[in-house]
Amino acid sequence: MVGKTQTVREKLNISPQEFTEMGRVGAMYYQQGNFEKARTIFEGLVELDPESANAHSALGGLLTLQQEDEKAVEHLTKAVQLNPSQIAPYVNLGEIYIRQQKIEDAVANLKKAIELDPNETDAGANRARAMVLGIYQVIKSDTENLDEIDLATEKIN
Amino acid sequence: MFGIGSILGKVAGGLLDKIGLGKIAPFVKMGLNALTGNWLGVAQDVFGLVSNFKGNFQDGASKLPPLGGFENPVNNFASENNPLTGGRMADLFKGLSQLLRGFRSLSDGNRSNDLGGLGRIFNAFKTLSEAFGNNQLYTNRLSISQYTNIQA
Repeated sequence: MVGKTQTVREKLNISPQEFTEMGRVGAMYYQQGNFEKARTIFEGLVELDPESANAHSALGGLLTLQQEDEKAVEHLTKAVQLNPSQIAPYVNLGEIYIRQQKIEDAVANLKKAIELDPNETDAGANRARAMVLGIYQVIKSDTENLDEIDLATEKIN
Repeated sequence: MFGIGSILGKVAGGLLDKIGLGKIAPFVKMGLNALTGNWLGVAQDVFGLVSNFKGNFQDGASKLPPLGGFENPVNNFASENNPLTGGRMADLFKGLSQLLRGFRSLSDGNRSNDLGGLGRIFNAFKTLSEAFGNNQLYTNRLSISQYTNIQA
């Protein structure tokens, strides 16, 4: 039986707290608009610990912004596999699938993000809600198709 | 009860623009047109979701794609709570240098991917050190020269 390969993070004895702190610095650069430095850090963190959902989610989020969709989907999908209860990867997958005109996949991911935040407090899930509203508007403007939908309109209107 | 009409008013008034998504409508339109079998299911999902919105979210939507667990409103890495002191970062550079040396000694032409990965970690550490403002780490010539030699 082959044992689990030790990550570089484990080899360097980097604690979870230290790892998170490194990620926060990357997030700080991201919020400040310094995407190059943020990317350098997030790419390093993925190499340090390829099993970190947070690292894959952060790099996937940045790649979503930079519209490197293929790479982004790879990291976001990995983040979901590692931690299915994290909201951000679903939001970003939804955004990418809208860009790729894969509306069914987009709605499925946005729905997951929204369901994970029932109190409307998470900024990422609220971004997902805004996207769903955008889709809603387009659907609603298509009046021909609206007739086919049996909706609880009194609830919506 | 919160009315969806007022939410839509805000959408029309630029909510999507504010969060950098003002251009999604054409993509949605083309995507919906491309849907073959499940247009109805998608529309029902969307209407179902919207009908449950409470309406509190408009001002709290992330303006950038969210990052997940690393996001924190208080980035206090520079405070005394930061576990990554200058000394600790120096230790990490030292440890990484030892790993690089190990890879170099094992180098057989097939380890370029591993080396590239360590290079990305090295670059991340350099960027982190800059953030912490530790000049000692900028000038850690031993680590940097070792890495440069291996790259060459």
